Formats: sequence, C-alpha cells, structure tokens
Amino acid sequence: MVGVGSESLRGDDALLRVEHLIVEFKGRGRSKLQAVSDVSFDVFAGETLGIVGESGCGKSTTAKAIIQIPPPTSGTIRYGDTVVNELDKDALRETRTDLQMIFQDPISALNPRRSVWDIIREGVEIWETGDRWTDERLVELIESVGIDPQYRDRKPFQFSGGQCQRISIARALALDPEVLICDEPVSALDVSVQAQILNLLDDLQTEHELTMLFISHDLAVVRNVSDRVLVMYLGRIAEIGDADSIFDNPQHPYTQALLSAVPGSGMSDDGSLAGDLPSPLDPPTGCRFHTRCSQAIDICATEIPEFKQFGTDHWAACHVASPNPDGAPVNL
Amino acid sequence: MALLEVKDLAVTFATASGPVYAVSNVNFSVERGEALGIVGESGSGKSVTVKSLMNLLPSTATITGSATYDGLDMFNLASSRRKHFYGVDVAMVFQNPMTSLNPVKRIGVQLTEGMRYHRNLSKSAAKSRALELLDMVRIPDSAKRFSQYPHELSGGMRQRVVIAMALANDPALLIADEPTTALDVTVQRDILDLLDGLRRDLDMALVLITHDLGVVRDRTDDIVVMYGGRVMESASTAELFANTIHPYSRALRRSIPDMSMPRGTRLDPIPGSPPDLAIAPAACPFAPRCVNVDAICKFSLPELAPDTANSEHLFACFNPHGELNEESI
Repeated sequence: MVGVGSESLRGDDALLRVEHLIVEFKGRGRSKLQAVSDVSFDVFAGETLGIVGESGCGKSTTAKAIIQIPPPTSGTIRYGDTVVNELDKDALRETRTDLQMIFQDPISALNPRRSVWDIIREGVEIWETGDRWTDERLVELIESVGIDPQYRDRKPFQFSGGQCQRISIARALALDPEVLICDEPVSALDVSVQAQILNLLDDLQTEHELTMLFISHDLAVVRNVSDRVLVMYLGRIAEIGDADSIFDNPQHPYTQALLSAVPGSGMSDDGSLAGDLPSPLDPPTGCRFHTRCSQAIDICATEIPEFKQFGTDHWAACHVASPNPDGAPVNL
Repeated sequence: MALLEVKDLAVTFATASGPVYAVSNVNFSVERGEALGIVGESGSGKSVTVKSLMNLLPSTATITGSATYDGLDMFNLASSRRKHFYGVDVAMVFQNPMTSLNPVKRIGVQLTEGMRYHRNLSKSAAKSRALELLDMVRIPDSAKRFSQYPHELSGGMRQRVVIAMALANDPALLIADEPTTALDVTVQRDILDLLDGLRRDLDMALVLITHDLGVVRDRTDDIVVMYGGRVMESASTAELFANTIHPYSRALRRSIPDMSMPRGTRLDPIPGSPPDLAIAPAACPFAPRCVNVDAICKFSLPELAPDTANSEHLFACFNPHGELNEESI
C-alpha cells in the first residue's frame, strides 16, 4: 500500500474518514484521468485539516468526493457511522445538510436572481419542519456573519465579493452542519478583506463547533487556520500530519520546495522545483514527484514510496527522507 | 533624468452612471535598470495607471497629467514614433498568459511577428533570435517549442513565452502587471526570479505590479503603495519595510498571514470595504477604514509629501501616527 496507504489514520472515532479514495474522470477515447489515487485521511471533530498543493493536484476533487460531487470511483467515505458513498439518494441529500461547502468565487456561488434572505432560507425551508429555525434566528445568523439584516432583500450583485462570501457562509451554516468544507474561500478576495473572512471562520468554528476542511494554495493562510495539514501532489498524499510539525520540519522534498517558494519565507532555495507538473493523464511511475525532485534516487522512479512516520502525528511518503538519521529502526 | 517619469496622472472613465475616478494624482519615477513595485488591491488604480502609459485604455478614459519616457511625452507621441515605441522601447507582460497568446498561432509565429515588424528582420534571422529568446527565458527544447501551439505548454511555460515576446526588441522598460497571479506558488517564484535576473542581465527597468507585498519585497528597489486610485506611500523597498508610515500600508502588512505566525494567530483585518470610485476624490480614500482617522481626513485630501526624517520617503496622510485628537471629529 505504497505512498497511498492508510497508516496515517488515527482510529475509529474520527468524525470523517476517507479510505483509499480514487476519483477518475473519463478522458478522450479510452484514456482515464486519475485525479485522486488512493488517498486516505481522517478528520476528528472540531479540528481543521488544511489541504495544500499546486493546481491539478486533486485537492478540490478530494473534498468534493466527500459530498459525492461526483461520487468517487472507489474508496470509502465514513461520516460518523454512515458510509456516505453507500447512501441512497434521499439519505445522501439529508446527510449533506451536515456536510456543507463554501466555494472560491462567492459571487458565482450565489443565485443572482434571488434575495439574500431567500438564498439563506432555502435549505431551512426544505429540511426544518420544526420551529428550531425561526426568522429571528436566521436574522441572528445573518448578523453573525457581519451582514446588516436590513439588506436581506438585496440581491448578490449589490454586495462586494467579501460580503458575498459572508452570505455563502451564512447559507452553509443555516442548516447547522457538523463539517464545513472551504474550497479556496479567500483566494478571490482582496488581501484586506481576506483577513476579515479568516477571522470570521475562526469565530464561527468556535461558536458552531465546526469541523473544517480548508483547501488553499496559500500556505500562509493554511498555516494560520490548520491543526493538521495534508500536502497533495498529483493525486497522492506527499505528507500529512500535525501542522506545526510539518511547517516547522517538512520531510517530503515536495513540501520543502512548496514552503521555500512562499515569497518572503526566508527559506533556502535548495528545494527549488525543476520543470513543470507532469500530465495527470500519464503520471510518472514510482514516486510521482521523482521527475522534479532534487533528491531523487533510482528507486524513486520504480517503487511507490510507503508512508514513514516522522513524529507522533507526522507522516511522509518518500524513499529518501529518513525518520532517523542513524538508520536505526523507528519505534514510535 | 529618470527613464520613466509620471506626474500628476489622473484617469477618469465616463460610464452610464457618471464618471469613475480610477486614478488621481499619481506621481512616481523609474530610473534606468531599476525595479519599481506598485502594490495595491483591486480598484487601487495600479493596472489603470500602467495601461494609461501603454495606451491601452478604452476611449471612455480621460487622461490628464504627464508621463515621459526618456524625456519623450508618452501621451503625445508622433504617430511615426508611436509605431515603433510600444513593444520596442516599452513592453508589457500581462496577468494571464493564455489570453496574451493567440491560441491558433504557433509560438514561433507570435514570437517573431514583432521583430519582423519593428526591425525588418528576415524570417531566418527572426527565428534564430526567437530561439535565443526562448533559451534566455529558460524554456528547454526551444526548437520544438518554437513550432508548438500555446495549449501544448503549461501555464508557467506560457508566461515565459510572453516574457520572451516582450523582450524581443530589447525594451529599456518592461511593465509586468501581476505576472504571476494566475500561476502556482512554485512557478511564481521561478517567473519572478527570471524577471529579476533578466532585468539585471539586460540592464532593463522593471515596473512590477502586484497585490502581494511579499512578491515585491526582495525584488524591487522602490515601492509605490496605491489605494483608491491614489498613491498612499512611496519609498525605497528597504525603507518602506523598515519604516512603514501610512496607516493603510501598515494595516495591509498586518492583515496578511505570515508563515512565521503560529497557528491560530488572530489576524488584524482592515474593517469595511474598498472605496467607491464614482465619488469625486475630496477626502482621503482610506479615511472610512483608518484607525487614525481625524476630522480633517474626511473633508480634505492629504498631499503626497516627504517624511521629515527621509526626503525620499513620501506619504499622503494627515495623521500617520494617530497624534491628532479623535474627539475633534
């Protein structure tokens, strides 16, 4: 189970557990594009998992597969005791109320013809038969994301990008979800507004006891929000584990290269990446990163690396990185 | 004399709902071989500023003020001079390499077109120059790339081609408008390093426009910070980072998460939203979001003036250190 194993899973009591996830898309003719190749990870209640990687690495596909858009080619997605990918249509719809998502472009995520009030209320009208969600509570929710409720009859185009993202967040929270999947939620926003949204998500996470998956290409943002980090490269996990451990002591050459590329990171250029991302239609054999890796050795081109443990909660799939420089077996 | 000198530049767009004051009172200069960073959020006027210099604004735009290139008035070029000005003396690289390239023409055709037009090079001379340029921007296998189409190249490679095109006629000034925003962080660094290296090797002046202070920090000599169509602060890069004076520049620096911050650090956001440019500039555009706001900020425009300690460090603020009394509002 090579480079793609499930050793990093931490136990059965995870809120969300993704096992051996594979997502394939049909390409031209008979070709298949495997966007996600055997990825396993888990998320415990209340924690934030940051997912990073270059465009095309499968980070959004992974997150979307959790809520079955589209359903994965194979693999298991467990949410509590539920196996999400085995649910029938109605049960899946109901489970999705617990698994909400916000998107990168907040303006296109909102129906331009409907008022903010209708947009936020729609889910509640469908799912809440009781009186748990009264108008007053929805008004409170709108206020809690920083939108003045007196504008509730306005339409999305009358708001700025940052305000639209606040509205998307309110819509996602209206159904009181357990898990909030954020797919590049601040990438389309101006830097001065980005911090407002990040702080808002932080507040709401505490208030609503949310579990978050936070996808971003901006490593500084991921560092700011994440308890754990998952680094993806061409559909596979390069490194996963505790955020501080990974950011302070990255083990995979890819993670090292990513971190040193951050402007003003002050890290050395040793890990500079050679060449371009290979085509996911024809990924390299062995370790998928070996074509660009400055430390690659012969075995990297032929064998897929297994996960090695580098700390209590720190795993990397690399032939070269050594958990113990003395070569002694690791006992953790 | 500076290579590029922009004085009191203002750009107004006529729209159906009245004028939009996109840029007002912009002043800066770039010396030969020097790199200038223009930093600002969307709507700050940074792109409109350089588009006005490149003669790329639509006819609805009214430009006032002056811009000189090597003493030459850029807004009143004789048509014979203009024909061989853009793309020769001054060249530009845009944000999205896919839209800068023609998808149905081979890389080679697009690379040689400008050289053949401006310099009357023969087909073979243009081709050998093009291959030289592709090597210069470090595109491997240049002969093969020469006959490929843009879609056969990755985003980073395409941006290298666009840079090669811009360099074709040895411009003395290269303007790069968010050249890496559409690219991945790993590719971003390569492109920025490439631009930086080329600037030094070719002794070319560079104007680098970005929304990311981190991008310009290590790669420019001077920085201009823009907000609401106006210059808020300008100084040498080292001085600006060591001694940030304008409350907007300081707020911008504080609001950006930094890799050195521990997880969960509360960010210091700038409250409110960017200004409405349809309102004629009559007050500091940052006043509604500023922590140091005072009565005067709301009805008077601060001039860009030098700091008492450093005459090269300019800023436009009445109350940079918050000394004025809030109660007077």
